[in-house]
Amino acid sequence: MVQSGKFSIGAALFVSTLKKISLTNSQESNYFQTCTNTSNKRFRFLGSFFFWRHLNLLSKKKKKGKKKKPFFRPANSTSIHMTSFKSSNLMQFFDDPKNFGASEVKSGRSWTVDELRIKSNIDLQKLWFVLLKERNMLLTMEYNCREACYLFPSPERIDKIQDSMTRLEQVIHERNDAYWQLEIGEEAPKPRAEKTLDPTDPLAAIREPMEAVTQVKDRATLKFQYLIKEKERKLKLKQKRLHEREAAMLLKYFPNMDKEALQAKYPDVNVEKLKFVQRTRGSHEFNTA
Amino acid sequence: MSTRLYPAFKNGNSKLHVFLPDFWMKLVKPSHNLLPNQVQFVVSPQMTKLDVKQYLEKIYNVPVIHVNTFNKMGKTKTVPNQYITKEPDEKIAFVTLHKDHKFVFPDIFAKGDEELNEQSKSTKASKEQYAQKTKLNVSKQGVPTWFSH
Repeated sequence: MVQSGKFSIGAALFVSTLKKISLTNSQESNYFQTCTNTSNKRFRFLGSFFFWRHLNLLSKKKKKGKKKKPFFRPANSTSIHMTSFKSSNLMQFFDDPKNFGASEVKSGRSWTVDELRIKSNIDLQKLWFVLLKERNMLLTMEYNCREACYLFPSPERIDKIQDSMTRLEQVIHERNDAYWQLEIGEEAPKPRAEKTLDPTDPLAAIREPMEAVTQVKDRATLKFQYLIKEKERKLKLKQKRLHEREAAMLLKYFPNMDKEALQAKYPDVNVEKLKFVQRTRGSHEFNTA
Repeated sequence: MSTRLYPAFKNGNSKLHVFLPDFWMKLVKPSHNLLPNQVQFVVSPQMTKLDVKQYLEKIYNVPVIHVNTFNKMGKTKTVPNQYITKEPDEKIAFVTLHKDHKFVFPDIFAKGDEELNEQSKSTKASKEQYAQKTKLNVSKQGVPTWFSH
C-alpha cells in the first residue's frame, strides 16, 4: 500500500504484495467496518521512517574525501520494479481494435439484481473492477469520438454498464444494512448524500453551477453572473406586477372587500396605494361621481 | 477514492480503504506535443494527484513516476440576445511514465474512413442510377417515367 494520503484503493486482487494474505472471513467483512475502524497512529509513520533511512542521514560516520549525494528516490519507487509495463496496459482504455470505426457494436444485457445477490463479496469486487474498466473504456471512446466529430457507436452500452454498477452498489448496501441491524441495531448510513433542489426556487438548477464559478473573476463569468442576476430580477418584477394586476382587478369588481385580507393574500403589493390608482376605479355609481 | 460519504478523518484513525472505487478516467488525445512517455487524461474532478497515481498503479498496473493536474474551465457560448450556455469543467492530468516506456495514441477511426468511402460510393451509384432514369425524360420534363408518348 502507498503510505501517503488519507485514502487508498483496497484492490487486494491487483496488488502482488497482498497476494500472500489469504482473505479470511474477518477481512471479507472489513468493508462493513470501515466506519468504525480505529487503530494506532504509529503505523502511519512507519513509511516515513524507512524513507529517512534511505537518505543515509542517520549514519554517523562521514568520509572526508568523497561526499556522497543522498540517494533520493520517491517513497513508493518500488512499484516501478514490481509491475511490468506493457503498452497493452494503457490500451485497456480503448475498445477492441476490431471495433475501431465500426458503426455498430453489439453487446449483451446488463446484470440483474437477482444474479448479483447470489455472488460472494469477493466476486462482486472482482466484477466491480471489470465494470469500472469497461466504463472507463466507453467514456474515453465517447470523448475522443466527440472531439473528432465522429458518431460514437451504440452509446446504450454506457447505460447498461451504469445500470449494473448501481445494482451492484444496491446489493452491497443491502448486505451492509443487514450487518448494521444485526450488530448495532440501526439502519446503515446511506452511501451517498441525496441532493434535493429547492422546489420554491425556479432557478435552483442553474444556481449550483453559478456558485461554482463565483470564485473566478473572468470576463465571461462576470458577464454570466450579471446576466443571471438580471434574469432573476426580471422574474421577481414580473411576479410582482402580476400580483398587482390581480389585486387591482379584485378591487375593481369588489370595491367593498376586506382590504386586510387582500393585503394578506398579496404581501408584496401596497394595497393602500393601489386604492388611488386609476385602473381600480370601476364603473360603480359611487366611483363615477 | 469515491464519491460516497465517509466519516471525517482524524489523526490516529486508520486509513480508509475504498473497496469499490468510483472515479472515472478518460485517456485523451494530447492537446499539444508531449514526450513519448507522457499521457494525458481527463479525470473526475474530485481526484487528487495521489488518487490518479494509485488508480493507474493498482487497477491498470501502470507504473507512474509523476502526475500533474489542473482544472480547465468549460467555455461559455452566447447565442446573441438570447441565452448563454456553459460547457462542463474538466480536470486534466498529465502522467509521466518511466523514461523507457512509450505510449502512442492509437488511430481510432482507421476503418471509419473506409466505411465513409463505401457510403460515398453507394451514394454515387444511386445518383448515377437516378440520372440514367431521368435522362429518358429530358425532352418532356415533368412527365412521369411510365408515360411513353
